[in-house]
Amino acid sequence: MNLSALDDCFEGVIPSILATASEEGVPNISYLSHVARVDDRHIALSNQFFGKTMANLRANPRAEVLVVDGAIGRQYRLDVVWLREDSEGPVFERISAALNASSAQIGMADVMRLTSVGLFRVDGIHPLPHPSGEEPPPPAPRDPILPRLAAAIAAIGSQTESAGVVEAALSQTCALLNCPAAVLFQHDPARGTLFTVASRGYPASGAGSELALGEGVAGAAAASGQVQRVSDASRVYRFAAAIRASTGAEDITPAIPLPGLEGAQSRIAAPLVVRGQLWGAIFAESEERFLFRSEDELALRVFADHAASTLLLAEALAAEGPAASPMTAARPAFQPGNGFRVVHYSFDDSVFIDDQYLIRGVAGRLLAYLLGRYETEGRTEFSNREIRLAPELRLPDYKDNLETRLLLLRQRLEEKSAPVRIERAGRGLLRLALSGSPRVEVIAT
Amino acid sequence: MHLGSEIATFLRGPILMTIGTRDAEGRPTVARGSGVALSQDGTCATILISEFLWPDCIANLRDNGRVAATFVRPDSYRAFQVKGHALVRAVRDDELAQARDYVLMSRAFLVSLGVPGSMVDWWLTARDVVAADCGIERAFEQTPGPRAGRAIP
Repeated sequence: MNLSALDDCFEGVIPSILATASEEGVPNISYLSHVARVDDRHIALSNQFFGKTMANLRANPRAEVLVVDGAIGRQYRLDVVWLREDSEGPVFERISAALNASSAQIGMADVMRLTSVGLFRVDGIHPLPHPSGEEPPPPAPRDPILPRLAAAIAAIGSQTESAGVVEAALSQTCALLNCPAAVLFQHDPARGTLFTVASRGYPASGAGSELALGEGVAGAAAASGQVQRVSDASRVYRFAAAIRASTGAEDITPAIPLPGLEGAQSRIAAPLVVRGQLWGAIFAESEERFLFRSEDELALRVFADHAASTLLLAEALAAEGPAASPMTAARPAFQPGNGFRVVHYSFDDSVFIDDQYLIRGVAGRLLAYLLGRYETEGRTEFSNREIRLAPELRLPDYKDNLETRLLLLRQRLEEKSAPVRIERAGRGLLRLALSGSPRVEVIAT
Repeated sequence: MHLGSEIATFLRGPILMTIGTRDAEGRPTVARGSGVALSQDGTCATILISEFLWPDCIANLRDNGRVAATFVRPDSYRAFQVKGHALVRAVRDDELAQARDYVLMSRAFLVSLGVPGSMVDWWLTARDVVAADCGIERAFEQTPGPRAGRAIP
């Protein structure tokens, strides 16, 4: 029997257990949050908290690991011999990233940071019998994923504009992975965060919500450049709650709530990378336990690469509109008393409308610019070309993801029922739709 | 040493238990328990173990009696570990009934946490249980976190 047949044991679904014995022959038990298969004869265990285990292994490297198939429940005893601890290198990086995906999603990355991984040689694999004496029938095989991957890539490839690509990225991720909810994040290098461009399958889109790089499953995927998966999120939460109770670690509260499924058990995220540059991440989740398998990881990786290229291409080929933005004939007439107050804090470009937080970062700067122009010039129409060239917007001089920023801003304004909306006014043109007269105040601090 | 009433109450709840033993050459092995009861004075934990699933564990206990046992609540991860020496004996009828009750209770509890019952059926059983009377010599905190490993006085 080969370790590669035990892949479903190394998914972190059911905790593994390690038994060691001291030099004097005193046994010890520890629970392991992550066991990874290194190759056909070696496994690596996360070493987070256990001092006794380490002392035992140094004195007596023979140990046993009990692992459980996360799909079926079958148990295996592995005869192992501890070889060494690694605190760097590819195996350490892989387990560290997987562990961060779990612990970061509950804001515990620092508390649960991995110090080293133990490398073990596996000398024997012993499957345990079913207590009934009869093995239950194996579960039905899963549908092959390749046809769904081909369909997803074809669907996103047929889109020409950013809005359509974003929508297809979300709907096709759900179709590919048979899951109800997905989020598209974009990287904001200036802030070192990911922000939600759009989502699918949630009561509120969460557009504009932010996630630090390395935080959560999506943040871990973006930071590591690897697909990240969690198969039993409830266990991660319970585990973290135990640690939090015993360390007093604090929660992190984002300004806009991130979209999230209550009771989600399976989570997966892939980085979106084009030409070696991080564009963002695609994230998906489901209430079903252990829904995403290693083949889903590979399929999402392939789909994410296509989605990232298609997103960038849609931006690059987006209509620019005329060089000079058209003048609007007349300011709309508003009922007296229909004005609204816009406060733009220039230090982080956060924008508040009537004291309610709306958005920050590039999207905040964009909105402040558009409303400021309206105030001084009375214009409601703007061309993409003008926006890209406006020096006060400080957009990066190459392709700046303007389309996705506008998409996000549009959604956020709609969700907040803001007195200003952004509409398309033609190729490369947008229009402000106002239901009152804005008074823009810039606070430079 | 003896364990206090708070731990005795904890042990009556829906906990999972893991038993560590080692053979004459010092090679350790893992097993799962199918029920536990603490003696009145708190000095001895009787752990029920399926010899059908865990013959090596029972053989080790018969050989040298060295034992480590971990008790954990799967909902809160609250856990502690005891160490000592155990003597193996046949179960009484009431202990067999206790093992059956334990399997039903723990299975239901794990199912309530989202673990499929068909998976639990691989792990917990009252089949061929024997009793291991473990004299408790030391006890340690094992709830995940920085206090894990700290001795319980």
